[in-house]
Formats: sequence, C-alpha cells, structure tokens
Amino acid sequence: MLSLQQYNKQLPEIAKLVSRWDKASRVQLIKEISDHILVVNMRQKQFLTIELQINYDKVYQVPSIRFRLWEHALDDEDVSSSKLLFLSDVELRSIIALNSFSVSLSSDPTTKEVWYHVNNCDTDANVGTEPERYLLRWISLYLQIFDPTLNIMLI
Amino acid sequence: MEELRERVWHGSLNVEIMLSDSIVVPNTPLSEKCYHIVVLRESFLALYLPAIVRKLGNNVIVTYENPYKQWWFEYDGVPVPWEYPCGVLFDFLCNSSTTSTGKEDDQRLQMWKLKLCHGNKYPPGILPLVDGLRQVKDHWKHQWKQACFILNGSAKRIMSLSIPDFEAFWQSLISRHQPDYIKVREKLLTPNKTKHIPIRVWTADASFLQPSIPANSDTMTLFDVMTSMDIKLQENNRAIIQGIVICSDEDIINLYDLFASIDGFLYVVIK
Repeated sequence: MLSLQQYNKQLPEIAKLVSRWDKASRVQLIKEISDHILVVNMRQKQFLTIELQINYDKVYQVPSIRFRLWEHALDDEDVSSSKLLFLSDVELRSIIALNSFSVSLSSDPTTKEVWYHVNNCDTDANVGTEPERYLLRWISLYLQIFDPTLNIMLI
Repeated sequence: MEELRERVWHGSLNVEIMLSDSIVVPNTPLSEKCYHIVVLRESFLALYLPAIVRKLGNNVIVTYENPYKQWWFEYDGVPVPWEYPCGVLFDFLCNSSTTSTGKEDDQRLQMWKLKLCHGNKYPPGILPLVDGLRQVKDHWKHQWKQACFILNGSAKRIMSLSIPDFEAFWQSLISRHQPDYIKVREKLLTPNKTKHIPIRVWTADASFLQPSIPANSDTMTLFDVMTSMDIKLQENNRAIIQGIVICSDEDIINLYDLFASIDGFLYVVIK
C-alpha cells in the first residue's frame, strides 16, 4: 500500500518522467484537493488515441490506472471525428499488452463516464510494499501495458 | 436470522419489459412487445437479458449480434445500470418501500416498468456489455475482491479460493442455491475480526458514496454511519435496505450480516 500523502508526493516526479515518453502526446498533472491525477494521452496507432489517467484508489490504497480508447475517422468532407471504442477482452488484448493484468469496464459515479480500469487487488504483490520509489516501480510495470519498451525510458 | 436471510435471498420484483419505441417494429401488438417477468432482488438485470431478447427480439427493427451487446434498460427515461443488484436499483429508482413492521404502503401489485433499448451509442453511465455473461461474472468477482479487501484488509481470502470453490460461488447465483452461496461466502468473512464494513450509499440527490466504516468493537449504528457522512435521517429522508425502511439505531454489523448483497456490499438507499 502507498499512503495518499506519499502518492501525492511522488507523482510530480513521475509526471516529469512520463513527459519524456515518446508515445505521450499530452501529459498533465492535475492537483485536486485530495488526490492528484496524471492525465496522459498517447497515440497508439494512426486512428487510435488512448486517454489514460493515473489516480489514487482509496479502497486498495494504491495507484490506479483507468483508460479509454478513442477511434478517429475522417468523413467524406475531411472532417475529423472521434468516438469511444468499447472492445471485448480479446479485442483489447490485441491492441495493448495486458498479459496477466485484468481490466474491467466501470462507470465514474460522478461523471457517468465509462472507463477501463486495471484491477488493483494484487498491486502490492506485483510491486512490493516499500513506500520509497513505489510509484517508479509501479509505472515501470503497469505502463508496459501501453508500451512494452517503456523500461528503456526509465533507465 | 436464517429465515430472514432466506427471505432476502428469495426476494423478488415484478417487472414489465417493454420494447423501446425507437426499436420496435411498427404496429407490433402490445402482447408481442411487452414481457412480464419476476426478477430476483439479489440478481443482476443482465442475467435476464438472454430470456428477454429471446422473447422480444423478433419484434425489433435492429440487427443484433447477441443478447448482451448494445442492449440496455431504461426506467422513466433514465438508463438503468446492470452492475448493481436488481433490488438496489429498484429501491433507488422507484421504490415505495414497506416498513419494518411489514405494513404495505399500497396494496396494488407493484410493477417495475422498464424499457428495453438497443443501439451502438450507449447513454451515460451504462457499461457496454462487450463480453456477455463472462463480463457480468468478472464484474461480480471484482466487487467481491473489493468487499473482501475492505472486510479483511486484504483480498487474499478470495484470491486463494480454489477454482471449484469460486465456480460453486458463481453457480450458486445462477442456480439460486443459497447453501452453496453461504458456504463459500463464509470463507471470505472472519467473524469478530472484520476491519471495515463494505457499504455503499445512494443518497436522495443521487450521489453514490462508498464510505470507510471501521468495524470497531464498540457498537456502530446506522445513525452513526449516516452522521459520519453528514446524512440526517428523518421522516422524509429514510434509509432503505433490501426494500425495507430501517430504524437508525440498528447495529451496522448486524445489518451487514443480514442484508449484504450478492456482491459483498451492504447497499443503503436514502429517500
């Protein structure tokens, strides 16, 4: 587990690191009153953008990832449009490297937006419980879902 | 106690499912676009979709891949999420509840009137059923992992369930076999060592709250829990659990023990 205080303290450093990520087209650290949120947009393929957010899971007391897929299209008059894409587990695994991670769709109780959530019940088992550099260990593992070569950036 | 648990397990709702005007074949007679079923309060609406689509699916103008994908329900124009137990949704959206004395407010047959909708653009808050029954099962599993973590401080108990035990747990919901359900559920709880109570509250202004309620050795009442969330229970602001108006001096651990839902959470609806 990582305390909310430690999470908020470590997140700005992670934001700096993620801003060096060549796949990230936008990185924004939002400082909410309680927990901070890191917003990252990444172009996965020509017609696909992944909008991902790192936030704090108050139940499991660990960092958490949620993401949405935006499919872009050009109409006959060259107007670009985007729509949310909801894929089955098999289809999703053909786009991102979920490997042993599991994700599920859930809706934000406040905004009613639907996001894929990477499940958090075994986060501590995956990254260890030592608070120091917890978030660095965590992103080096969990962001590989979106970029298996990410570790090179973190060296 | 056991009798009450059994009544909660078998609690049911009368539901009228009507095809949405936007998808029904014009001039379909009422009997062909409407279906009356009894759903269990402690079940998920999504589990009824195959039977409903089988019954009404011949009278829609849309083509559909399967009985889950791109289908959803609406009540009074409001989309109805499938991921919460039916009874909780009913209590929140349209309940005229019974009091704890059992006296009914209204003697008429209570009917939950839902519209069956279909489309590739889901309304806000509706989880697309992209993986059918498997997705319902996965969602339920993750709710239990969360509940288990809240109860015990870790999800180890559910993570270490054997595959046959876990399958028996899920199948007990499908086959409605309460003894099997209780047998596995008991493995997830540690009486007298509970750390927190998994509780979810739907307030009168439609806020959805999941407070952290420690299970102290001191008695904590429903009143204490509501007060900790700045919710005042009064005549026009009642706490409803499993369709019953609950007295605010009831012990929250007892309420959890008796009325917790099939996903491991105790749901309280304030209205």
